[in-house]
Amino acid sequence: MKTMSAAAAAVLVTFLGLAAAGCGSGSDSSASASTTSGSSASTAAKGSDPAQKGGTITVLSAGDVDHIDPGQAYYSFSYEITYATQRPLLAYKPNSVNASPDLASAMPKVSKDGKTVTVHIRKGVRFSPPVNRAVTSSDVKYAIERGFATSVASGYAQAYFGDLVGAPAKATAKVPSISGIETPNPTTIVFKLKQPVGVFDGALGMPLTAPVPAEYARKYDNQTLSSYGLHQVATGPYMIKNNASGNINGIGYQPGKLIELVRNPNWNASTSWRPANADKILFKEGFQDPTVMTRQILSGSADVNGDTPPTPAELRSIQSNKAQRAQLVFTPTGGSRYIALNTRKAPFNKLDVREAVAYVLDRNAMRLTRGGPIDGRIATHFIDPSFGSKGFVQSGGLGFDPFPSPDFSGNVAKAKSLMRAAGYPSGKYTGKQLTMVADNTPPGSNTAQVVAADLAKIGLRVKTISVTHSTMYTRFCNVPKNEPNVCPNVWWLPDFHEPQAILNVTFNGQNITSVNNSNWPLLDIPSLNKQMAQAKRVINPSQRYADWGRIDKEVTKTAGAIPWLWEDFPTLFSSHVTPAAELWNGGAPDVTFMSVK
Amino acid sequence: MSDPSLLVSPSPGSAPGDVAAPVPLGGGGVAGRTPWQLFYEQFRRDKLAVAAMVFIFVEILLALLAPVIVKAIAHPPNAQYPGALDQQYGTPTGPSSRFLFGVDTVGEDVFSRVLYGARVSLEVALFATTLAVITGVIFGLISGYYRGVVDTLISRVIDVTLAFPVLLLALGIASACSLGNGCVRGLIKPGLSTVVAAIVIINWTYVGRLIRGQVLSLREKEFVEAARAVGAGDAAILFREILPNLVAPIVVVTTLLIPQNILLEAALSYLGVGINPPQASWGEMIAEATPIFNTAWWFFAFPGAALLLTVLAFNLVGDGVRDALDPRMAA
Repeated sequence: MKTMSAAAAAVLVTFLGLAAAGCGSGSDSSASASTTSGSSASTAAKGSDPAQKGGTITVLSAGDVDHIDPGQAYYSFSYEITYATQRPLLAYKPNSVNASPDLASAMPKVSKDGKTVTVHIRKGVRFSPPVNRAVTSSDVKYAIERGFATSVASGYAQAYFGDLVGAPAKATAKVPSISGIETPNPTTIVFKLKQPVGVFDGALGMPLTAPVPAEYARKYDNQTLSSYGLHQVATGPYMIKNNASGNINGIGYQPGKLIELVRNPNWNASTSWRPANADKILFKEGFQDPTVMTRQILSGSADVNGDTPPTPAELRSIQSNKAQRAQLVFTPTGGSRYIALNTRKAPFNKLDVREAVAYVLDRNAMRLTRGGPIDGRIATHFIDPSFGSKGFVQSGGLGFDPFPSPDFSGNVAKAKSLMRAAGYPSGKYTGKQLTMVADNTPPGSNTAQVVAADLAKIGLRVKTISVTHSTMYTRFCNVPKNEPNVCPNVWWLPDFHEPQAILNVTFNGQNITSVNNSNWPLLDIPSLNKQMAQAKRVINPSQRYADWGRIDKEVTKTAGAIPWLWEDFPTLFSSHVTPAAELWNGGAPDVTFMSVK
Repeated sequence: MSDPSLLVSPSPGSAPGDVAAPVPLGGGGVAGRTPWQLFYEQFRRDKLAVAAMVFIFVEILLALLAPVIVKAIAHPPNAQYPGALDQQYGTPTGPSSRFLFGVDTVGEDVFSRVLYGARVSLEVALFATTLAVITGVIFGLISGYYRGVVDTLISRVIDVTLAFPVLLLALGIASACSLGNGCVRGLIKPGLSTVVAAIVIINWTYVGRLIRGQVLSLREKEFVEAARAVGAGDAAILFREILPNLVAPIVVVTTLLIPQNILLEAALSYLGVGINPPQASWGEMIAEATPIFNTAWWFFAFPGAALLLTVLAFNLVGDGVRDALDPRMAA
C-alpha cells in the first residue's frame, strides 16, 4: 500500500506541476485555477485557519441525492451525506486522493498471492440510536452482502466485489451469504478472492463497506425495495435526524427539500480523524436557479454549493472581485464529462453514426456553457490528466484524439461523410425523432442545447426532456429500460484514484445493471469486457496502467460515450466558513472538515 | 363589460347588426351612418389606440417577414455562434454590428430570436384566442338559449374551471401535456399546441359565461319572438338573430383576451412548460435571461421590451374598441 500511496501523491504533484506549467501559456486559465484550488484545499486540510466547534453549515443543492441508502448511493452529491454519516473501511481526507483507514484500524494487508485481503477494524465505534451497539466485522460483511440483493442493487457491488469467492454472478432475491468474506473475530474481516485483483483495496473505500447491523436492517432489506435507507443508522460523526424508532423520512430527510444532519451521540472522536466541527449540517434542496444559490452563498445566508456550480456569469463576476475570489475553489476532479449515446437503440447501434456524432460535436462550445477554459481542459479520452503516469500518459495524454477538429469546434463535413457511410445518402439522418434527457437548470441545460443544435447538423432531431440532475440519473440514464437515445449531462468521477475506476464500471458490459446502472452508453463489447477482466487482475502497477491506458483508447474509439471536459469543479464557500473541498470527490464540500468561523 | 343592449338597438326583422334608419328631421338631408362608421369615427379619436393599432400592424408585418429580415441583417434564430461568446468565461456578449441585440448563453442571435418570438406570441394571440372565443360563443349560445339541463351542465363546468387560479390550472394542463408524446393520444403535443390547448381550455369559460348572460337576455326580445312567430328554427334564431347582436361584446372580449393570452404563454414558457428551446419565445428567453440580468442586460431587455410593448398595444386597442362600441362614450 505504501507504494501505491506514494505513486498517487506523485501523480498529484505532477498534475499541479503541469497546471503551473500551463500558466505560462497565458491562454489556459484553468491551470491557474487548479493551482488556486490546490492551495485552498490544502489550507483547509492543514488547518491553518483555526477551526471552531459548533454552529450550522448550510449546503445548497438543486436536486436530491440519488439514494439515501449508503449501500445504494452512487453519486458525488450523495457522498457528501454518506461520508459524513457512515464509516467505510477506508475514506479520504479532503486534500487527498489516497484512502486512509476510517473504520479500519490500519490499511488492508494483502497476501503475497494477492488473493487474500485482511482488514482489522477499530474498537470503540458504535451505531447511532436506536441500535446503539458496538460495530463488529460481521456488520461490514452484511453491508457488502446486501449490495448483491435485488432490494438494494448496489451499482458497483458486482464490479468491485464480484471477484470474492462465493459472490453471486447476478443480483439475488435475498441477501446472499458470501463465503469469501470471513469474520474470524469481531474486529477482523478477511476477503478471499477468486483471483488477484489489482485494486481491491480501492474498493474498500466505497460506502458499501460501511457497516450495517443485520439484525436491524434485514427486515427492511427483505422488502421488494429496501427501505433501510429511510431507517438507517450512522457510524460517522453525524446522523440524519431520526425518531426513536430510527425513521428519518419526513424528519431529517424530506426528499427534494431538506436533509438535516445532527451529531451522532455515539460517535467517539478518538476513533476518527474527522474534526466534525459544526453541530448541524443542513442540505437545503430544490435550488433550481444557480444564481440564487450563488448569491445566497456570497451573502452568507448559506455556506456552499452542493451539486451545482455557479453559472459562467457568476464565475466571471466572482473571479473579478478580489474579496470573493478567495471563496471560490477549483478542484481537478480526475473525471470527465461526456455525452452518452444509447448503443442498444438505433441509430446509435451503428459505429459510423456514433463516430459522426463525435465529429460533429463542438466541444469548445460545450465547455463555454460551463465557464470556458477556467472550468478545465477539453477531454479527448477518459483518463484525466491528473492521473499523469497512472494511465493518462499511457492512453496518449493530450495527443490522443480519435475525433479531431480545428479548435475542438467540430468537423461537420467528416460527420456527414460518416453518415453517408452509415446509409444516409444525404449525410443526414432521416429516421424518427430521438429523445434526450437533460438537466433543467444551467449550465447542464445549456450544454444540452448545444448538443441538440450540433446533432441537428447531421439530421439527428432530438426531443429534450428536462428534469433535475438527480432525476436524470435515477429515472432515466441509470435505468437501461428507460434510457433515452442521448444523455448529454453525465459526469463520471473515479471511485478511487485508479484508471480502472474510470473505465470498468462505466464501459464494461458485465457491469450493466437493471437499476443504478452507470454504463450509460450500455456498451457491451465482448473483446473490451475481456480486456478489462484481464487488466483488473494485473498486480504490477506499471503494467496495469499500460493496460488501462490501451483500454481507454479503445473505449474512446467506440464513440459510445464522447468525452468533452476534464473538469476543474468550482465550489463556492461563504466567507463564514473554512473551506474544505474533496479532491477525491470532484470538489464536493467535505462538511466534516469545514468549520464555522 | 358594457351591456350590448346599450350598444345597438335591434328591431324585429332588421338585418343583423343594423340599427334603425335615422329619421330625417325638418326635411333636411342627414346622411345615415352604419355601425361600422360610428365605430370607426369613435375609435380614431383615441390617438393612443390608433398608435397601438399601427404598432400591432408593424409587428405582424415584422413577424411575417422575419425570415427575410433575418437573412438580410441577422442570423438564423436557432443557430449557435460560440465564437460570439466571451471566450474566457463563455458568457454572452452585448449588442454589436454583427449581433444587433447581442447573443444569449449559447451564442444565439437575440435579435433573430426576438423577431421569431413575435411569431409565437402572435400565433398564440390570434389562434388560441380565436379558438377560445369560438368555443365560448358556441357553448354560451347553447347554454343561454336552451337553458334547463344543458345550461346547468355547461354552467357548472364553467364554474368549476373558473374556481381554479388561472396560472395554476394552466400549469397543470401544460405540465401534463409537456412530457412524452403529449395529451389526448398525442393530439396535443408538447410545445405550442400545449400552450394553445391550455389557453382554450381556460379562456372559453370567460367567453361562455359572458355570452350565456347576453343570450338569456336577447332570447326574450321581441325580434326573437317575431322570428319564432314566422317559423324560424333554433339554428336560424341563434345564428341569424341572436349571434349578430353579440358582435360587439365578442369583439371587446377578444381584444381584451389577446394580451392576457400573450402573457399566459410567456408565463408558461417562463416556468418551463410552454415553448421549449430551441424554439424562440419571449417568455422562455426572459426565463433564461433573468439569472444573468446583471451581466447580460440585453438578453433580458429586448424580449422583455417586446413583450411589454405588445401587451400594452393590445390592451390599448382593446380599450379603444370597447370605448368605440359604447354609445355612452360617444361625443
